[in-house]
Amino acid sequence: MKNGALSKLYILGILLFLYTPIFVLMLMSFNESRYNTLPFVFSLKWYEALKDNTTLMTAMNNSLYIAFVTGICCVILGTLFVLGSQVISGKWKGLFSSMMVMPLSIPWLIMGLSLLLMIRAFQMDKNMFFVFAGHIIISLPYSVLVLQARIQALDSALDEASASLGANALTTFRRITLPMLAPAMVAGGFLSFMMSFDNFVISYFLIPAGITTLPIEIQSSIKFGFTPEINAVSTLIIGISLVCLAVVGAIMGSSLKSIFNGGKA
Amino acid sequence: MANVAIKNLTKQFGDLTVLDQLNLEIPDGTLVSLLGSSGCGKTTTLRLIAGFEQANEGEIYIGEERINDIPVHKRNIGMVFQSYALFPHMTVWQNVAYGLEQRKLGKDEIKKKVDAILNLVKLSDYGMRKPKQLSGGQQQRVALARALVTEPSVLLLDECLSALDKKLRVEMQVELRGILEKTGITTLFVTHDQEEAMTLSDWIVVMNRGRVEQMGKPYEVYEHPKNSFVAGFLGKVNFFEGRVVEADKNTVTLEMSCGTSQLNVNEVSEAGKDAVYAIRPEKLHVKKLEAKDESATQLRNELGLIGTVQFITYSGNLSTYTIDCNGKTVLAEVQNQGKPEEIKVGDKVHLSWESTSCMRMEEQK
Repeated sequence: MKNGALSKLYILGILLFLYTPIFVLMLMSFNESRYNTLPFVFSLKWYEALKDNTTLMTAMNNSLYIAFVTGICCVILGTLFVLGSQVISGKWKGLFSSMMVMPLSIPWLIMGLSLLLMIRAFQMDKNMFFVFAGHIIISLPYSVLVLQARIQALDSALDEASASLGANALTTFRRITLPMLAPAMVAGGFLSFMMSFDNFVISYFLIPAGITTLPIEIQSSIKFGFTPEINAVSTLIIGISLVCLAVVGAIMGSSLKSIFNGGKA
Repeated sequence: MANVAIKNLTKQFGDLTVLDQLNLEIPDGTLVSLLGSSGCGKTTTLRLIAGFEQANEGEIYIGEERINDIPVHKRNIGMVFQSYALFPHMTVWQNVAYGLEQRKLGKDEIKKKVDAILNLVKLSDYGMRKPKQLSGGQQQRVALARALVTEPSVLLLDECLSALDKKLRVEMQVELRGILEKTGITTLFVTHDQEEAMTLSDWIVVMNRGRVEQMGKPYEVYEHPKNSFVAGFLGKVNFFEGRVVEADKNTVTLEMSCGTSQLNVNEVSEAGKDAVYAIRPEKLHVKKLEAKDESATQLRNELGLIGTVQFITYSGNLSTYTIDCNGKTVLAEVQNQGKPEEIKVGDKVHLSWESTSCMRMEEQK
């Protein structure tokens, strides 16, 4: 009994540690004070101000656009990779898989720097293509990890069963493999999307002049005077993410749950 | 429906020869079991017939057609996998309909056939469920229905009962037998469970190291095993191995490592040759030898073996005696007739048998 209460207290402590900053941020976005100070007076004025802040809104749109393209590309590339790696045998498979997720262990700072150096070395200008390339490089491993976990949990006899019932390779892919992978594709794409959406370092190195993303905008606004509009936009992002998660969860139901529970189908 | 023939089939994985010039014929409309320990090549044989593996040498025929180069999806086979491999994202009904859809049948026809087969496997009310919502036995029946509904020329079953617990497995054996008799489909069943093979099959093929050791009706392979592998794989057996010193009409005198004994046997080997004889524990008659018994002398002169009881294992209907005959351990099984225990550990007993029960084994090279 006493132990149970203690462990609950412990878990509560950890949760407080994790979520207090975010809670404060969300709270302050509804506070009237310009300087994030108490007492708390409820107000929606920062959300109204946000509506008129075109710089911030454009930056958010740019970030959403980049993250969306990155997410889609990561799902396609990741799916092709895990399907392809099923065919490769033995040591090559392990080598390729490790190399695919290697960018996870390379600091973004170095990744961004190396991309920038490459652009300079080939005497090219910064353009959106390199922004996408950089985002895909750092986001792809997340899609691959999720998809790999899923495909390894799939019974290889499913493909054989489909073939034995008279389905050719294309039909088997369309009716068996793809539906079985779909939850992982959605989850992996979502992860890659989020990784790209809040990435600052890579964008900072590669973004062409005159274009800005939300993380860059937040960073610069901190330098030049912070307003609670930032709190408001952050709260909106958290809200949208949660709604996305809920929608994805509802659509994919138990399949998605099984991914987060270790990929058991 | 058709018979399946395998000719000189060889399959190697790297340096490992899994099938070595295998020959096999599965008669039309029968259920044949491939029985063997793991690694004997039985599953590989099945996968070659299905088309999941390619043979290095040899031919596979279904009916008159050589199918070596026909891809899996055009072979018209039905297969039940060890893991069942039901499509988890489809309902039971969709799972069963899948094969028919591939054959481009009309909607009404598909519905008619699926309903009929689900009725046959007693799952009519479960069509709308997902496989996960079914018990192991029910999943098994869905897998069977899915494989049968397309009316394949041959049905392949890969250890498909081994995932069930024992009670359910025995029930499913009976049900499977019934369903297959109704459909009359040629079936090849892979198992390592000898009891299962005995109950289910018309024919048993005992495999070992990529070759067929013996093919026969269940009673044939049990009562007349060709060699000591088959005898030892199916049921319990006592082996007598040694050099024949003297051969008579129905008796041989065998010099074994533990001493020389005279055995009455079904078939004598030539004197001077090595031979192996086998006798099943339930074929032995056990008689207690009383020291003062008048019959003792008489029994001693009869053919058979004399030994001392070392263990008695009581298992309800049977008692199994472990008997030491001059250093040779012999098992004997006796039906319990409900009388109080006569023979005790340490008693001297006399073992005898009909000459037909002691079987000469073909020598294994």
